[in-house]
Amino acid sequence: MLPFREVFFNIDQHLLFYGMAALATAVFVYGMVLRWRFWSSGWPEARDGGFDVGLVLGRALLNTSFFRRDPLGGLTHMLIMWGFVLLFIGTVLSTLDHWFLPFLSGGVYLVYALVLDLAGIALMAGVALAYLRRFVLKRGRMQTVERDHVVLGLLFFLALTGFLVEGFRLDAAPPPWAEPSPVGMWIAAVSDRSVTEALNAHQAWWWIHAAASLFLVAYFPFSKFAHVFAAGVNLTLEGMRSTSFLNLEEREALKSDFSFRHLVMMDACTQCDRCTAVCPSHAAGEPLSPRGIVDETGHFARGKAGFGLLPHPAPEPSAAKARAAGDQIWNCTTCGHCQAACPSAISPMELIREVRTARIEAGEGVPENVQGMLESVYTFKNPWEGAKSKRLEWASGLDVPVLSEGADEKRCLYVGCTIAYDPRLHGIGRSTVAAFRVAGLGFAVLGKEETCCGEVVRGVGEDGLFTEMAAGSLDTFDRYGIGEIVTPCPHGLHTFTNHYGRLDQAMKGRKAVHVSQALEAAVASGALTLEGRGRRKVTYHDPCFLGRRGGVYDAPRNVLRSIPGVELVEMGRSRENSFCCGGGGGRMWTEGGGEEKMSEIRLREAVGTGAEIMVTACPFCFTNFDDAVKTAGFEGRIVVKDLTELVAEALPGSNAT
Amino acid sequence: MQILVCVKRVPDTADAEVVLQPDGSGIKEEDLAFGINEWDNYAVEEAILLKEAHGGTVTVATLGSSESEDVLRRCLAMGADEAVRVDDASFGDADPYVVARGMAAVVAKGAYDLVLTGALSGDHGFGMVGPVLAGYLGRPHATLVTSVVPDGSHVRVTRELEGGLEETLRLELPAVLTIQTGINEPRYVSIMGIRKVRAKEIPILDAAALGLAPADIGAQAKRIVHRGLSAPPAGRSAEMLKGTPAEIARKILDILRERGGMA
Repeated sequence: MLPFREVFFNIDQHLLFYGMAALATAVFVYGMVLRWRFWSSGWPEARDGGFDVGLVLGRALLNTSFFRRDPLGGLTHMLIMWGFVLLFIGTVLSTLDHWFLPFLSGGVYLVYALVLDLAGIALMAGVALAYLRRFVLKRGRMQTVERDHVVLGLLFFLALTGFLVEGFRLDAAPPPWAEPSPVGMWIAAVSDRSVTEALNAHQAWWWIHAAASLFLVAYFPFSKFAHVFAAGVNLTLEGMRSTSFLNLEEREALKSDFSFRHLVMMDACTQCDRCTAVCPSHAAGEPLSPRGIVDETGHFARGKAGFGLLPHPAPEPSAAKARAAGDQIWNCTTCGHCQAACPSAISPMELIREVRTARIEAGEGVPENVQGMLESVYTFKNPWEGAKSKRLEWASGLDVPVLSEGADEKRCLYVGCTIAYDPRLHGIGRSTVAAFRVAGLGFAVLGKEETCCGEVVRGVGEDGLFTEMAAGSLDTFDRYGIGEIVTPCPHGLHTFTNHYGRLDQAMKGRKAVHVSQALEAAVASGALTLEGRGRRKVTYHDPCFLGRRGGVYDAPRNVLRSIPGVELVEMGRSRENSFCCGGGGGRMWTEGGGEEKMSEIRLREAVGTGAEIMVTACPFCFTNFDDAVKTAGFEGRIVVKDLTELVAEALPGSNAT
Repeated sequence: MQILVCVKRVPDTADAEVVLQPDGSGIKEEDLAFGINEWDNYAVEEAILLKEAHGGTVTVATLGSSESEDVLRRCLAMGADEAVRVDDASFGDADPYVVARGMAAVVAKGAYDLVLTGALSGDHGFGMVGPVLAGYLGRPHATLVTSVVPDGSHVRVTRELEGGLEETLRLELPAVLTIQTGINEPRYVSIMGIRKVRAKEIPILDAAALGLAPADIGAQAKRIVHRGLSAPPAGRSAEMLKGTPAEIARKILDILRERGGMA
């Protein structure tokens, strides 16, 4: 006799079971339709990529993002997910076997039975680990609410009752072959019941297990389980590089508050708190929780869209998107660490920006300094209320070629507003000029015609003004036939690269590079050879907009390593884990009211490496760290320099030491 | 309440280097940024707040060329209902008397309970248009107003005086008020907001439409003669302190003590 398992062993009321199954499936389908309707109420976004198999399968099936940052969390999720998935597949196979094509017998059955037993063990172990993490190890700041117990408890209960059913079946009707179900066999061995008792126990637990399983099916789309679908969709959209960029007129015409992807993100979130754990503003004790943002915007959007078991009535008139999530939205530095840390590629940062836009359009609750900055961009075309006549003060005496004065050059050195108007930062522009001249890199500047690239404006959510500024800059680039923009400002780089391309005018094949990339190329080609100025230990801070958001990690490091005598030491948090200086997202203009400053937290980390120089490659980072050296009392122990300044000191003929 | 607010487009000279024309007739404008006069911005916001609280309409008016349209559109985006632009070559280089004359003609065309102006303008800073306008209209007025509370047929206002004093007045409507900065927090107007009012028609009123004769507004109507602009001679009381930051701080402290700046 070949080993097999009799489906509906000891169970007679097949119709009752199929009736319950049909009901559960109907509820499941209804829930999924509601989810889909909710997502579709958002506006469609721009997509310029295809299905990214590696991203979706790697993250969804292998949980690569979990393992990279949190191995225990990865193991927990992996055990629960694969335990659940295998048991689900097992049920599907059993149905196929029963109704269509009998194949679960003999060796195939033995493997099947063993795998399912192991899957059950994995599921129970995963849930146990989850409780261990939540209540004993207390990893992160994960919050546990009633519905989390429902989800975890249900999974554990399903595995447990499954084993009981199996055990009593094996007890009542011991098979003549060695059943490869260790847990079932063990239960059968210890159950010590008569055949009748075992049959009764089996029947009772079978129905309990069936009811619980079908409850899970029905509950699935209304619970955190829905993230299985939403996260999959969101990862797919991430691979397609879907962005919410749509000009405001079109957006308003659509009468929706969020994009399709925003709404998917809200449903994909399981409140795991990995985002908040890496949020620099949160770390500084400021009232900002990226997890809370996803929760609150989701609550708001679902309420308004009428998502729920039953369609909601129309939202009360006070339901304004501008008020969703409160004032914490202004604390975000748009460093992008939250979205990088999210296993499901959710971007709390994008949701924050979206709410900021609503605030700006409503004109309510915009912090005074942010308003002042925006008005400055509107009036002066730069965020620092700088006069046009002073735009080129940074280059005084350098005789730099200016495009409007007839310079014939396709490479534009765009220093950006902050370097142009802060005398402390003029050195960055001047050092760049010195290095380019030695390297023989031709360039010209826009001079008085250089205006705000729009990054800070977009960062705080003023999309209309951003489009206006971008159009102005693109016109200027067109007018002078500029082919390449080199900038020492990562914020400009990010905007030219990632946002100008989405506008109607677009970049037209024009490329933008950071100064560090131009210098790296010059060093690599031999055009630039740097000289040693003694042994120095330096640490490099990855600016968020150059590293995490621009993908440039190695260029500045390679330039640093090419300076003889420079020993590069890394901080604990570097590259994609870099900790924000606190200057992005309009935060150069606002105080967050935290316990300490992000810049000081980061500076202490730099000092901790024993480095005597902290090198960065962004004007905001430079300003914040240079201030922090003074406010945190590290004068004499560490100095902050921009990469270009270190390079200028190492130029042949430079007499700097 | 029907409110008219007089606004002006001025250069923002806070951080800019102001360069005089060689003949002293004015300043070079090429590199300057222009926008609504700061005081006027508060006046517009105050008018809109009054409208939001008590109903009515807000109309903004300016005297100026088509360059002033942006300023009016910004006011419309803030929440003003109507805008009018007075433009006529015969106004020439208007002084505050002539501007007030033009605005008085605009007021006469409507039925305004309240006329607001900024207390000062950021360019010439005469602070005269409001009071002169009140004179032409024969209405009560208050300057440097820091709060406005309607009170039936009257309005109660607070004025800012020297030395931190405040004066409270009760004026009969219709009245003219000149608004001081800080009376409110002017709202942010997004570019989208401005774009939405792009198509709104802004009537242009010339002298004829306002019933003004050349004698009312031409050169002969001016009472202030502009002789020229010049930079003040460098004073001698400025002293540059030298030394380390600590030494400089010590010297500043000494100076403050010496001159009674610190107790």
